[in-house]
Amino acid sequence: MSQNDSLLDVYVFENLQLLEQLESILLAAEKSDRFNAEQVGAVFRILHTIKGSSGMMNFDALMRLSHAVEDLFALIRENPEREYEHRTVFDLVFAAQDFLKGEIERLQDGIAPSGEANDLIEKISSYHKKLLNGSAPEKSAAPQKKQKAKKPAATEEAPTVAAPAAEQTETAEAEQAAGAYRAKIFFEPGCKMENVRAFGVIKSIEDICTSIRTVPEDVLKEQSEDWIVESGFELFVETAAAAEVLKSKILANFFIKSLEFSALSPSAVQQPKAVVQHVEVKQEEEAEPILEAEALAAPSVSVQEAAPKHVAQEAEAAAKNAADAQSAQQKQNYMSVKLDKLDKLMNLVGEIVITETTVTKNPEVLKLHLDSFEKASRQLRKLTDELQDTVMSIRMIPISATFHRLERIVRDMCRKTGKQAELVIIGEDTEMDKSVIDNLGDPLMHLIRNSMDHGIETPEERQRKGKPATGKIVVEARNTGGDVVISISDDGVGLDRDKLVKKGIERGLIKKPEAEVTEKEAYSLIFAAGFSTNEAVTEFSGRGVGMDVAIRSIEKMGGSLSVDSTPDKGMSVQMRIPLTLAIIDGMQVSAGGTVFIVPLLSIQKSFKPKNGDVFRDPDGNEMILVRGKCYPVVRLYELYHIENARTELEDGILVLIEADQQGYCLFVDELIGEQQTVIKPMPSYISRYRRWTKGIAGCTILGDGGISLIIDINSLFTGV
Amino acid sequence: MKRVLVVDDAAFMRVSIKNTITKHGYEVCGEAENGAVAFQKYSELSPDIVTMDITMPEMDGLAALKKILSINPKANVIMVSAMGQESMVREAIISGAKGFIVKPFKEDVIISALNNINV
Repeated sequence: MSQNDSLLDVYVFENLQLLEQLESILLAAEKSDRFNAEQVGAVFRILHTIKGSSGMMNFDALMRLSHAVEDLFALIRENPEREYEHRTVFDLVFAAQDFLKGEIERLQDGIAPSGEANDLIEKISSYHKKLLNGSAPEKSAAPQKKQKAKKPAATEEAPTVAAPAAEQTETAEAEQAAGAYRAKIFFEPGCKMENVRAFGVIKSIEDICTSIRTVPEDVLKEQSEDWIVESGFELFVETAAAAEVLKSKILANFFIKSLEFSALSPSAVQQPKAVVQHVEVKQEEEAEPILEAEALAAPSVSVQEAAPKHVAQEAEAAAKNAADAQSAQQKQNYMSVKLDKLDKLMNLVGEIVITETTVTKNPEVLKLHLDSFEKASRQLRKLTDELQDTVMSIRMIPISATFHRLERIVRDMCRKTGKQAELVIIGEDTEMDKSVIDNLGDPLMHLIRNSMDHGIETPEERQRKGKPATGKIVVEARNTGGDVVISISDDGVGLDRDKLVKKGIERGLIKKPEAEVTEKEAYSLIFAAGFSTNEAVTEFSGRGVGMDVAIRSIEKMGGSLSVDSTPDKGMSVQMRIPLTLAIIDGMQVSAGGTVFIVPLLSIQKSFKPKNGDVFRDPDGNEMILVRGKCYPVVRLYELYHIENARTELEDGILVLIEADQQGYCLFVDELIGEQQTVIKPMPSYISRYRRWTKGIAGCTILGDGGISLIIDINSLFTGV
Repeated sequence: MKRVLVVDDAAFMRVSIKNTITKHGYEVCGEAENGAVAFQKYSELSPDIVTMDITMPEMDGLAALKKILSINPKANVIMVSAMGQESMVREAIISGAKGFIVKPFKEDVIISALNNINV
């Protein structure tokens, strides 16, 4: 990442990623109803990182909340045997995750985070306290041990240990003329952990001193921190080294604001207590690693010779580290790129593809019939094709993350509605353009909510109907040539055709008699704006917004939606979405001088009809028999009221088009040729009039600079 | 110019530290997102100073510190810790870290820590 990326961008990007990771860990853990050790560690690390970054950015609420969760998980990690209520923990962490995500998404939108999380923080820390105080044989044993380890050093064992130390002191003194000094240190305000810093000072001079006495005595006690901040940290030392050496050693420590340094008479230090104190420090060092290994269980603390089990652990850790080092190297082969840059690259490639055609198909040049030019343009064509494929593949990402986010919605709704449902994901590896996937999240969410709210019944009702108590929602993605089909199906009640039609007529959305309404028409009512058959508005749905939003965003991407339903067996929604938004292979066709582009993949064949081939069905629609199947004939010039087009079927050409719902034969004047087209959206001043743009997916710029309309085969003709 | 290796699993922290210290005349010669990479980069780049996060996946800062000190006992490693990690910091000091700073820190804190190291 370049230095120009603002810190906030990095903060938002990274932490949203972490929160997504967190969510998938939580969901996985919840499925097995408990956290395993690895998950606990991962949750801890994620919250630790968010805490750190949030603190640096001064997002206080975010920092405190993530700190609270981090603490809770530190406790869980340190006490793997401890029983805790998993559900409570899940709920707390999910709530925290939601809050953090909400706030960071606000930041992403350029809004300052506002929320206060005090209630949640309070809840988490009170649960943390409860866990800490509640039956805690493990935990309470640890501090006791710690005390025990210290006390003997200070009292009982001290004399015996102190004696040799004292002797040493004497011999050292005898050999070298020792000096005694007093040093008083104040640390820089705000440098934090002053007691550990004091410990660091002791460590830094230990090897040149024969005895050290400190005020406060036990620097590592928590209370010492405040003492040191307020009154400073005082040292009485004896050393054979020169005063200057001692001083510089002390000053090598970080954040020393002031140092008072004075020489003393040796007796001032030479108290039994001083020696004991010194021993205590030593003693603690030796005892510490064992305690720490238990208390902290840091992933790979390597001073664990104490217990055999630790040795085994260490070997394991070492093996893991080796493997990790390798995977870390592999990971470096990836880098993250800003999406705008990819968008720009995509646009540029699109322009190049167009320009390539403009140059190589230039009529003036073609007239010259230059062999070498043709050769060169073929080569250019090959390279632009490859360039385009590569750029598109860069933008392709699997849909799995979007699918897995749905698990959370199902989970939340199950908990709140008392229903039971599981989400089955099929084909999550299906890859689509990043911008398509970004736009799919919302529609999918609405559809899942709809299934959960209207489709899946309560467990009791399901059992009464003889279905399994747990409902099933299946989301599936699969590739079908140029499109990806995503289907969401549930095994719930299905759609009630009569109820829909009644409501539709009530709302004036259906104008024909009830009996004439087809199932398809009835079902598609669920996508009408503000339409809801729900009597009660629930938290999740019933307001009638949502499904219309879903269909609109699908249509915006050039996709289409269809609904199918069987009463009491469930409903399914199929979305057909183009693999990539930007470039398609098209066939140019003309009608009365207007050039249209038909996506090449949807063309099955094109042929010249004879006049007698076409017949009329009882309703008077033109039909034609192709390969034993009957297809309606659609005259393009009629749809768009184009004048001067060929009207006799023998003069023009029929293009058999395979569409979602029904294939049809499009009648056009002539085929012009294949053309790679970059889809540009219709300008908003035209697309406002949906009546005019029906059947048009967008437009493109032709090689000669002209503009051509791209036909949306699925909405151009929707059946007779 | 003193060369610094910045080790932190959070890209945010790496960018943040990098932005800060390059303004004050330090060169960031490398970045690492975990202890294993840190050790590898340390041996490759032999930087003057390392800023080392403690909590990281795969290999944490303490283990990396020890590995680095095992090949160069004089390595200048500054631990970047967070509140609540007193005991780990203590272990780092015992192991031979030159000092530590505590997140969240202000700009002058990390600069003062770096300036304190005589290379």
